[in-house]
Amino acid sequence: MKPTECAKILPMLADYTVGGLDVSTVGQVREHLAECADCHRELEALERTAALLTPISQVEPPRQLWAGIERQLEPRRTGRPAWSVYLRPAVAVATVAAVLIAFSVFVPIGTTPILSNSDLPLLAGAEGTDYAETQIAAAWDQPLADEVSLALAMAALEPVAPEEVPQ
Amino acid sequence: MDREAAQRRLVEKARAGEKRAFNALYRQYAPVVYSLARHMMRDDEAAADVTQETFVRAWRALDSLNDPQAFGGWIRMIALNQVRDWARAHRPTGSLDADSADQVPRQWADESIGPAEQLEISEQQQQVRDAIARLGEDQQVVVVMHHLEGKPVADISRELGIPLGTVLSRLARGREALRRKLAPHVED
Repeated sequence: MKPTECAKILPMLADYTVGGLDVSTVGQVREHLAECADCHRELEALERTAALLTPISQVEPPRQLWAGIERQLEPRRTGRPAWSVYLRPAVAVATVAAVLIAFSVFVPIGTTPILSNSDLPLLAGAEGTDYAETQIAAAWDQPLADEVSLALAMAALEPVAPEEVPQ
Repeated sequence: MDREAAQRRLVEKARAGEKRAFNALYRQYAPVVYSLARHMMRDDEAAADVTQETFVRAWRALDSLNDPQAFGGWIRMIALNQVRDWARAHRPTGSLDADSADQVPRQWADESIGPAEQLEISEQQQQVRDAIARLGEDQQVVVVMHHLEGKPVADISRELGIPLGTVLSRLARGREALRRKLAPHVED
C-alpha cells in the first residue's frame, strides 16, 4: 500500500469509528482498509480503546449532601429578588419625575418676555441701554428664553435720538 | 415546556439567587456528578466531598455560564476539575487511584480470574481513568457522556447545545488521544 494513501486515511480512522464521515468518504476508507493491514491494525486499536471505557452505574449521592451544600450558598452578589424586576420601572418613573420638578424649579420655562413693547421707549438713554444689555446677556445663557422678546430687545439697542423719547 | 427550556429557566432563576431553583438543578445532576466522581476516584467519601464542592463552585460561578442549556456539560467539567485537583492533592504520583490498585472494580471481581490477572485489570482501569482525566475539557465531557454514561451522540448534542458534527469530532479526537495514552493496552 502506498504510504501517501495511508497518510490520507489514518487521520480519518477515529472519525470513521464514531460515524463522523460522509458516505463517499466511508467508501474510500473501507476500500483502503480492505487492502491495508497497517491501517486495519490501527482501526482495531481504536476500537479496543473504546472497549476499555467501561460504563459507570449511576448511584444517588448521600442524602445529607444538599444540606451541606446549602449551608455554603451565600447570597449571590448579582442575584436580585424576583420583586426587584417590578421595582425597576417604578424607580425610572420616579427619577424622571424628580428631574422634571428640578428643571421647572431652577430653569424658567416660557419666561415672561424680557422686554414688552411698552418698555421699549424706556430703553433710550444710558440707563435703558445698560438694562437691555444685561437682559440680553442673561438671555444668552437661557436657552429657553423668549427669542422674540430677545430680538425686539436687540433692535431697541439701535441708537435712539433722545429727543424722540416722549416726555 | 421542553426539558431544555425548563432547565434554562431554572438556571436563570438560580442566577437571580433562588436557592430552590438551584436545588432542582442539584436533584437533576447530583447523581451524575456523584457517580462520575465515584467512578474516577474509587472513594465514596471523597466523591461526596467533590460533589459538594462542585455544586458550591457552580453556584458561585453561575454568571460565567454563557449558555444555560449547557449546564449539564459545565457541571461535569467542574466536577472533573475537582477530581483532578483532589488527585493532585491526595496522590503524590498524580494518579487517580495509586493507593487502591488492590481494589478490583465489581464488574471485574470474577473468581475465575486469578489475583495476578485481577491486579493487571485493576491497573489497566486505573490507567484508563488517568487517561480520561488528562483529556482536554471539551473532549473529556463528550467522552464521559458517551462512553461512561452511555448517552447517544444526538442527546449529547442537545444537552450541550452544540452541533452533532462537533460532538462527533470531539469524540473522535478524544478517542485518538486515549488510544495514544493507552497504547500498551490496545496495540497487538
